[in-house]
Amino acid sequence: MSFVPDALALPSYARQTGEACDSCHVGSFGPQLTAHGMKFKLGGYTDSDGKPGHLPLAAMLIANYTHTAQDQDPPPDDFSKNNNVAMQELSGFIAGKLYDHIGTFTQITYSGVDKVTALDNTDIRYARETTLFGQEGTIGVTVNNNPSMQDPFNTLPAWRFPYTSSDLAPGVEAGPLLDDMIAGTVYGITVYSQLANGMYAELGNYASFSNNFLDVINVEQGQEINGLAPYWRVAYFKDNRSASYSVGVHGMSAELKDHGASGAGDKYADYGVDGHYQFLGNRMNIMSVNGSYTHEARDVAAEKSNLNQLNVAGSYYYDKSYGGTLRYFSTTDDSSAKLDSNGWMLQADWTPFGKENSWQAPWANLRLGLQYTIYNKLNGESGSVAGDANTLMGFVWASL
Amino acid sequence: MHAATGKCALLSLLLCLLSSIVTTGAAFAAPAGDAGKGGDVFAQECSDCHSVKPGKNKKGPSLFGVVGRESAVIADFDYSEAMRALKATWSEENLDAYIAKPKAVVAAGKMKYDGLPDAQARADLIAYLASQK
Repeated sequence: MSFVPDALALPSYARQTGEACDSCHVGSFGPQLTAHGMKFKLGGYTDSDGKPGHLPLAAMLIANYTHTAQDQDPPPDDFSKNNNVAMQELSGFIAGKLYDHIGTFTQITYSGVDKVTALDNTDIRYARETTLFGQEGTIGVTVNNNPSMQDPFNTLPAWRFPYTSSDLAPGVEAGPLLDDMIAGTVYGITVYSQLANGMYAELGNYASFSNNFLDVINVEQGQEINGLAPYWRVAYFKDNRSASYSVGVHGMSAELKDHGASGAGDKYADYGVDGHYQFLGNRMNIMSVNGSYTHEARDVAAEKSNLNQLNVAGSYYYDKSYGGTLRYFSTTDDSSAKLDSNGWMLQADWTPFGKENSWQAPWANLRLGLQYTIYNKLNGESGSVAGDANTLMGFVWASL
Repeated sequence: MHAATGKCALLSLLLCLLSSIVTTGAAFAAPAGDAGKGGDVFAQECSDCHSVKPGKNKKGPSLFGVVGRESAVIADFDYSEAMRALKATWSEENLDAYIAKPKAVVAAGKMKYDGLPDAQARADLIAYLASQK
């Protein structure tokens, strides 16, 4: 299957901590984190209410309806040209504290579009509090299979808005290395520290899984990393409980080649800036802005080119339940393919549960939403050709 | 003579008690708290880790009825050894000091909170907590 990078909301963490989903998630549903949730992740998913016997297990389902402005010809495999209903994802999770200082987020997903079950996002980490350079803070190490999924700020590709989108609609084809190009086919080990003075730093390397292992976890082979691919990230993160913000830089570079091929491969080097601001106040009116800009220098098939990707999303949630998000996205590609894209996305959603006094908390979790994507330009095409791909998606997202 | 001495001793005792009350009041010169505003302070500062529902423990213990409660008395909450050793009563004065800078009161406590420096906000919060009983 192709890797499914989106979607999570994990009641097992709520059961482990005794906290409601709204403590860690904006709008009472994952994956957008509050500052409290960011710290839980950095702490290795191990904070708890101190009681034994919490099973680190959860499950999730996403079903959606997809309508495009014009019929798709040919239609997606096993689906109609338009107005498709799909059970897009059914996931099981091992998620929570495994041992002192060790926790995990491990997702196994059945795709109702690809009809395949495979290992999805996986992050196993060790973290502990310590004093470093005279500063109190948290240090940790993460082993994961998707560069940027370990990041806590919802600004980098793995966990930025949109948190779910249709697998049955046309989409932006060009993206940088960091954006899903090698997700699921690699493993990375990075070390990180978050100090009390606000400095967050992370450094590590990624390498490709063997073909045999990819067969075991049922992930489609892509190109493999030649040697190691370095990943780095530095940010300044502050939380005063009424609001939080981060501003940072990130990067990754890799040489990719077909499995078993000899000689030089395709070279990618990503560098970017990103940041977020989140106002929480008394949690009745939550506003956030998240953005990232990534530049990629490419040397692919003996052609040197540059790709730039911009994403900015602003959201507002009332009473931890009613949300609206507006996103602008843009990709410019100066290669001969010229796969430029840009447009807007608007989402409205309702999360009836996930609060401390909610029905069956923290077991029952649900988000209902409508999402509309407008393409001004899509994969180099503009005008009515791009507009034909404008997509309306309605979704039901549940977890327990 | 004895009667006069007795009256004098009683007066001294009363003066001593009055002095003690005044002195205590001067040491804890917190502003008057507004429980309504304190609810917002609780939502912002405490609610991620604490509940005011009876028996509802999160990473921190339930704060229902905390004002006037003995420290570390919730049977099914896993307090730190330092908190168990405190053996104090959560009077408004003690709560004010603890919320202002937790590590100054329980140095080895496990609460991940730097403190609330705003005295008025602390007073509002304590007024709110006092209403949760």
